[in-house]
Amino acid sequence: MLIFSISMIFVIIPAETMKGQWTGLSPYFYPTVMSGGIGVFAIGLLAQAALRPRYYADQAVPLTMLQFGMFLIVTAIVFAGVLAIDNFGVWIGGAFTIAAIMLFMGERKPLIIVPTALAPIAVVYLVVTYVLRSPLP
Amino acid sequence: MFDNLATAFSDAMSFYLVLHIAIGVFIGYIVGALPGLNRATAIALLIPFTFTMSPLAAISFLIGINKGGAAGAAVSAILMNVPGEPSAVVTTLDGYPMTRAGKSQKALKIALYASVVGDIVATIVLIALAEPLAKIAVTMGPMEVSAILIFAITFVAAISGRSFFKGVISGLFGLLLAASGLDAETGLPRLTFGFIELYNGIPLLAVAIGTLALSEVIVQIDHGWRGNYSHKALYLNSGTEADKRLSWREFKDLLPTMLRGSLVGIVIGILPGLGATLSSFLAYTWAKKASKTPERFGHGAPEGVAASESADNASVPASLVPVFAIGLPGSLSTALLMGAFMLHGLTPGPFLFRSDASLVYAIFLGMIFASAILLFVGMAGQGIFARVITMRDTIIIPVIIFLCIIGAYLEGGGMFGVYLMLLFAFVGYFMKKFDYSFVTFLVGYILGPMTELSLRQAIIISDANPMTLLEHPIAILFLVLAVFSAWRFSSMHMLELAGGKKLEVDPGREDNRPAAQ
Repeated sequence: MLIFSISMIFVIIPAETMKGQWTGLSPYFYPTVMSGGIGVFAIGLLAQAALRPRYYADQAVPLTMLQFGMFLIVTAIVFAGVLAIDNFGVWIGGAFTIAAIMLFMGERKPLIIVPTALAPIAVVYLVVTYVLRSPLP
Repeated sequence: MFDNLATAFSDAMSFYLVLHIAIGVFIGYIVGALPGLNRATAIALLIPFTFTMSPLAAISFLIGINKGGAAGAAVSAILMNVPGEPSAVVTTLDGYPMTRAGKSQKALKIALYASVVGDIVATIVLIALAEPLAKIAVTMGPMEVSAILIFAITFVAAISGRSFFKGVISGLFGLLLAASGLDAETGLPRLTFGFIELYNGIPLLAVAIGTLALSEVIVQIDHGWRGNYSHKALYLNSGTEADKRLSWREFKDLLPTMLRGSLVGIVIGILPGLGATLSSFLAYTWAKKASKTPERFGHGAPEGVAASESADNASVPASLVPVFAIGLPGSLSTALLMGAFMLHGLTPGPFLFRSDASLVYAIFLGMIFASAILLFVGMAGQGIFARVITMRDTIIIPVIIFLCIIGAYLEGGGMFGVYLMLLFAFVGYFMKKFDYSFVTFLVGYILGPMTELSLRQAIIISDANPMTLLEHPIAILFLVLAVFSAWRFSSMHMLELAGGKKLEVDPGREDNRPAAQ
């Protein structure tokens, strides 16, 4: 968080704010104050950890490699589904997404997978197209 | 107030509105009943489906989800000992023992009636309090507003997680994210990273769905992978006829407990950040202390269920008091509701009573209708909800992920919003794992534009001279309260660290999967 704060203040905010003329407060002001606040409290967090190292040592590891690996796999499946929706449309991409996640979660019965993969898409398609009158990918 | 109520009555008395509320309550009930899903997730997912609705129907629909979710959480708590939401943890203490004793239907009825009583009482309080408070809030200037916002974020941060520092960092991170887009004063693009889609700011639904819904379901996939995705059997049809019914006399005996629970829910609900979980804990404790037979609590005491459920549901309308009066959300669901107001072109807060008083009162009337519909849906749908909660996660979770994608797509920005949502799923996952508060983050994000505007105005008006604060006693009061809450709660956390003891109640965490199984 401290690194995030420093990089926001010195790199990202200056680089990502368009230069221009203004009166009053600069557009840098607000994000810089917020980033500075994050940095100050991150130092507080570090100080807390330094003062009570035993408490933190006794805590369970918040994120194991196995959990993170699982998160990455699921996110990759969802990402593949999003790409499929983007390229092939909501019917093919949506069905692929739902079916892929069901298979990953251990569902193997086609009689459950096929209706589950198609029914929500049909409902969403009808609602979005005919009620919301909004386009779908 | 009564003039506005009369005008609003004609707007609210429409089949179209009642239908939307009923659908909202029904969806909320199902989502609340399903373990691991919560009403905030449902609201985030369903906001895009309200875009073509009128603001009144949209807000009433979402409030219906909120109310239904609070009541529905009791179903799985009672039937499976798995609370649908953290606020229903207390309901498991006596609800599940009642189920084991063959009184599941009686427990469900008590939970439903208590929810409706709490809901109606708190809605009446909301109607009575919101406008007078809004009248006071209108008189406040940017100094006072800035001080209130600083206090709100500090207080929510202090109370809504295990670490005060992490809470504040979450809030500041939310405030920082809201800075993306065109600068309000100069019109210059800021933190847009070259994307035109970000000129209007980071889309609310990409943030909300990514951090709340998608990251949560991914965590649940992980949990299920290690355990299993199915849910335990029920005891719905066991027991004698007397065990299934709730007589008028039994209801009358429970009414004082329900009213006490409602009072606790209202007081806790109004304060930002405290949330329904704390209110149900406190109401339960009060009911136990007031009981002549406290030893029955934890072994199937109907008062335990009544106290917890009335407090839980009372906190829903009560949490809307600061939203309508000051424009200040104190929980995930109210932050999302406030976002929904904004997406429908309304600015919640004191000025809404001036610009759209009849709309506000129509929403209030819609909330009363929602309470009645809640009773009907709860009674008629008991069997349905009992079956829905046994549905396997392998069916529910993939569908939710698909809805996450569609929800992020619909807000605007098309697939850009979807990719952004995936990015925020990462943010949400790490926040969840490292215990950063979602409530503070989302409250910060929603309040970001208002905070920046009032801070800028305050600095310009005061000419950046802190001594001018002395002319604003209300601002001083809220700043002192902010410092006090920061000191009080951070020292509590330090004590917790020193003693190695965890706080028993983790109030603001309506965002997490319930721990008690």
